Amino acid sequence: MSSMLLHVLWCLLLMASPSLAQDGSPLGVPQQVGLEKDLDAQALLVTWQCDRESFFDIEIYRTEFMEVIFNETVELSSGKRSGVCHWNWTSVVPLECTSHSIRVRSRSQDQLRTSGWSDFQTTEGKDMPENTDAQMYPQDKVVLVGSSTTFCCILGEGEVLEEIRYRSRVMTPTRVSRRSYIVTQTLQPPSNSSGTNVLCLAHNVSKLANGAAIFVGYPPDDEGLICESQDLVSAVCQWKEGRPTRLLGRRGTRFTLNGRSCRPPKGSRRCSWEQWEGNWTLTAKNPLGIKEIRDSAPLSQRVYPVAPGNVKIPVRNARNATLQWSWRYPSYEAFPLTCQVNLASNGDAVTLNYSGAGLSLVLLENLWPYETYGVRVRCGAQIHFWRWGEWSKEITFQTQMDRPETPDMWIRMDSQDSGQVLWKPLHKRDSHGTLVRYEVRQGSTSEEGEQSVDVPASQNSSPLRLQSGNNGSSSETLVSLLAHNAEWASEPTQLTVPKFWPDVDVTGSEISSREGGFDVSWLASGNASYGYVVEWFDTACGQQCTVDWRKVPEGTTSARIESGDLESGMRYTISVYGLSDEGPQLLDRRHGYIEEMVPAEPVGSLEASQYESSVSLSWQEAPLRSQRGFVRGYNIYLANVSQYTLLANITDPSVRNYTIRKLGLGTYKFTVRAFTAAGEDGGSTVSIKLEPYSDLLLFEMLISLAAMSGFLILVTALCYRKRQWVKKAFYPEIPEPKLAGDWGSSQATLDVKPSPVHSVVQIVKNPQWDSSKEGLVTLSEEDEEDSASNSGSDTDSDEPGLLRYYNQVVGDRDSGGQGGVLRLPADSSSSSVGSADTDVTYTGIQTSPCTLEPPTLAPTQAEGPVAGVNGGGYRPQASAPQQQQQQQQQHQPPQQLELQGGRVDAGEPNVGAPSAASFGGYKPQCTWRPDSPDEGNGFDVGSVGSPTSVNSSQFLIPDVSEDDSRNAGSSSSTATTSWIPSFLSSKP
Amino acid sequence: MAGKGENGKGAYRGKSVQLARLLNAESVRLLDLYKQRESFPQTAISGERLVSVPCPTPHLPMGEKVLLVHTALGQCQGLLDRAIVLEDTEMGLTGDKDCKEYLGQRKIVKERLGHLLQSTRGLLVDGVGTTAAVAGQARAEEPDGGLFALKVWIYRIIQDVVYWTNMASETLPMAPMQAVTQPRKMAKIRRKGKRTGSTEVMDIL
Repeated sequence: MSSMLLHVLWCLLLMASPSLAQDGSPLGVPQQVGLEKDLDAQALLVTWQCDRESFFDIEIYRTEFMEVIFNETVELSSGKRSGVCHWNWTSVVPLECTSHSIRVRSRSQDQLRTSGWSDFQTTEGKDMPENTDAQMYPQDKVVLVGSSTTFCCILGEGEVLEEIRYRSRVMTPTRVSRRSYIVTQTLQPPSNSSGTNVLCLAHNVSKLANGAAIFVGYPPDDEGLICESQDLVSAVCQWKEGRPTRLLGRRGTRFTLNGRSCRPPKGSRRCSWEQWEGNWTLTAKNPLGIKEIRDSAPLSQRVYPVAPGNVKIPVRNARNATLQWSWRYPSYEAFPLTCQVNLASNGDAVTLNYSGAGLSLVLLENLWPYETYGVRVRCGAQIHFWRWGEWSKEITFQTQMDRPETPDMWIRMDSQDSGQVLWKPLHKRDSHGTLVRYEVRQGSTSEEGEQSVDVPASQNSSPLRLQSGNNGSSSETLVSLLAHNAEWASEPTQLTVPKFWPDVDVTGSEISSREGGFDVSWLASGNASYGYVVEWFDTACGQQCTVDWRKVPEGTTSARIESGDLESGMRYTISVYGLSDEGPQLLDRRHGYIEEMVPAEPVGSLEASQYESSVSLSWQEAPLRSQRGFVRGYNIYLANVSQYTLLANITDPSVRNYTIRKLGLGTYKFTVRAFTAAGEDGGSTVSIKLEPYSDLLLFEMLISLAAMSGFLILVTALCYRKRQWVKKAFYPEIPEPKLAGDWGSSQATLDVKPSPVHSVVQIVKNPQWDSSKEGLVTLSEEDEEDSASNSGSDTDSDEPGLLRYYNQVVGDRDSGGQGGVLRLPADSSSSSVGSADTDVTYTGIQTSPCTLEPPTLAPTQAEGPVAGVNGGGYRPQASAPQQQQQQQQQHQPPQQLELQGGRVDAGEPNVGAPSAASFGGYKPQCTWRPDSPDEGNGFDVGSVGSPTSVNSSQFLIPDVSEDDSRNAGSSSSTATTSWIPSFLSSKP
Repeated sequence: MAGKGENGKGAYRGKSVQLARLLNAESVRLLDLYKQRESFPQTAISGERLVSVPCPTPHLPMGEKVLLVHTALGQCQGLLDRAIVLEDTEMGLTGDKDCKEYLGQRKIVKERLGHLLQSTRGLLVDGVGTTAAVAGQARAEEPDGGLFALKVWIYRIIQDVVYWTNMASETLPMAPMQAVTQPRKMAKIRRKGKRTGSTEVMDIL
């Protein structure tokens, strides 16, 4: 209870204490509190009655929300006379945004006691209910770059805030009243010319409720004020802008010069003043600030002359002219001036300086004749030169003509008595006028009289033809050249006609280039009293040569040839002549390239020829124009499908052939490439197919023959060593036939009855002739087999196929074997019968063929052969006509049975078909001889190897005598083959 | 001859239509540039149109539609000219290098609008009634607020140019067939209006 009482007392004390003066008297409440506002400055001006210096507590509220936004104690003193205290407060938020209220109270000196608060003083904002429209503040404010500004958006009645944007950036609003929201933008960047917009967007009105523009920029920063005088009276002041203020239009910078407004032309910083004042102050001002710049100088030091006027050339000569002009202001007449004259012609300009008081006339010297000049002039103060004035307008003039310069002449001889007089065209600066013609004079030093030829000015040469003098020498011919322009003729230039020195390419005469030119040097010549001439031209130019030359003074023995006309890959002939009274004398001659290139054309006429196993290549060098460099040699390549194989590198360019040796047969491609210092050319390719050459062919033939011979010798030797076996195999001993009956006395006719296919012809004795003898009977194969098996000892069991007959001689020495059956081998029978498998078995062959009588017809199954047999003996090959013929011969005397040549071919029944006379009958018996060579009609050894049939040679080989008489044609073959049996039959 | 005249009229109309379409595209481009420069929202700003000419209704004769379009374009031209002057004076746009494209486009629209106005005048039967039509004044006065209000005003002017050039491109294609007879009718209406003191045209204007 007591504590509560103390607390109340303390509060009462506190409340009462402010009202007490320092001396204990109570403090009075501030009276007559007034409130004013400065909307542009966003400031509140508060006033109240106060007696002396004192302290006051001040509180400021946002009225609607009664939000304290300021509460501080300030010390103020009243005006000495008025007794009113003033206090200003600047608001960050525009005062239009909402209503503000303020109240004040006094505070004692010791600040312990205060008075009571004054009544609230309120200033209304624009958000009062009677202002229903949407608004935004501040409007059109101009602020410094980087500053902060608070904006407020007062929504219209019923509107709801959506967002506030600064430019495009959405801000965070703060509500300060029912309809008012504020946002603050810090560090504002410079705005554009129309300012930066702050937009207030509401929900329920088509978005844009209101907005404000703010201009952010800089204060003026102009500098460099300079005032000049052109007319020596007035002044023109200029300066530079400095940093752009970013403020334009109504917020742009305003200028005053010495306190007087000046409005510079658009895009410039310049103001004029009628009279020179010596001291100048320029003030630049914009909403953000003011800047003053000054200049101070006497007029004489700031003279900037105007451009000279009425510039003209009153006098024109060939090499000089006068230039005159006038001044706009009379004050210039006595003013010391220095002037520059700019003289330009053909792109070249020179500047001439002149000076003098009121200068207006100068002499232009050292001009080119007949040259067009452009001239202009400007001036400055001679004393206290400030700067050059403006250039005058340029005028042009042309000087007069003059004598042309002496042309540079040279003579090039194409032969002993002809050449060209050449000269370099005179430059316009050298012709000193319009060149009209050239005059070429030709005369002799020893004779009087000259020939003169006029050449059009467009030409730079004239043909020269010498006429031999009495002594036949043309060295003393003198040529003179003059150039004529429209008014003048030049001094003549003279030259004695030089001798003709043909251009011979000498090894070692090469000259190398350096940096696009040739450095030529030569030995000094004592005769070169007039210096030297270095001449060069395209070596391959032929008759259409473009010759260039350079004259070198005496005492100089080197020169550099450097011209834009020199081309890479072109060979130049460079000659040095010494000039003397006797005329030019050739001192040296070289050849060179500015830059060597690879040949443009491959070698020509590339040919390849074969010599045995070698290929010889030959070619021709490319034309000089195409070489484009000194050919250092050639590379020979073997061109494969995908690569080139270097075969040879020929470094001697004079060698233009090459032989590739030891090549096998086949097709080759060879590529020859010439190379220069720059590389190889594209190459020329030739293809050649190597054929077998004659020696090789002969060699191969000899090898083949030798191999064949060796083989034959080997076979022969082998056969010789194995002759027993061979003989046994191929020519076995044929046992003598042994006849069982009385064959010697009987004269029965051998009756051959070829059986049909696979039948066996059995030769039997004609039973009619001798019924007691066994006759030839036809046997079946079974029978044949039986008989063969029965024959036993008579058949060579080792060679049954070859020896299937019995070479029996039926006669007195009949071995009397098994019934006297003789079998013909299959091949033999096939030849005779026409059947491949016909075996003929001879049985009972008569021993005395010469006495054989024509056989009588015997019944037979095979009609043809039988008929043949009946006609003339054995004729198995006989065809129908032959058979008929044979039938016709049946009435002729009986002849021997003979197989013509023994060459009976089953497939060719007519081959070897004898004529009626020749095969007057198969008469093997005629040739037969006894197996023993001792007997007169024995077996002829020579017939053994008859190719007719190995198996039946004894039947087929004709008698030698008959052979000679009947078949001489076949004797040779018989002879060639007869050595084999002879060889075989000989004993070792 | 009639056919030739109709063809000539048609060709003339065709050029007017092409010009209107071209100008519409150019003014749309100008509006885009303006919105971009001022960071204005893409949605249109609400409020009354500054051009005090009602939109042509479908039941109106074609000649009257053309007259309305011509009148509106005339007001657009006046407003645009004034906007250009204010814009240059208040904001000093001509000295801003960053505004070259906008200024160029503004110049194009200004000149083409004059050409279209001339062209549509040719479709108004020997220019009868054009004086009265052009004499119609824009409804809105110049804003007396801050620069932002001026910017919104200019924005609306460009919006009106876009609107009425679009209207012209839609209306003018149908002009020739009507125009042959429409001038007399319009003249009658006008004369009748003078007698009666109220005509459709006068009501419209």
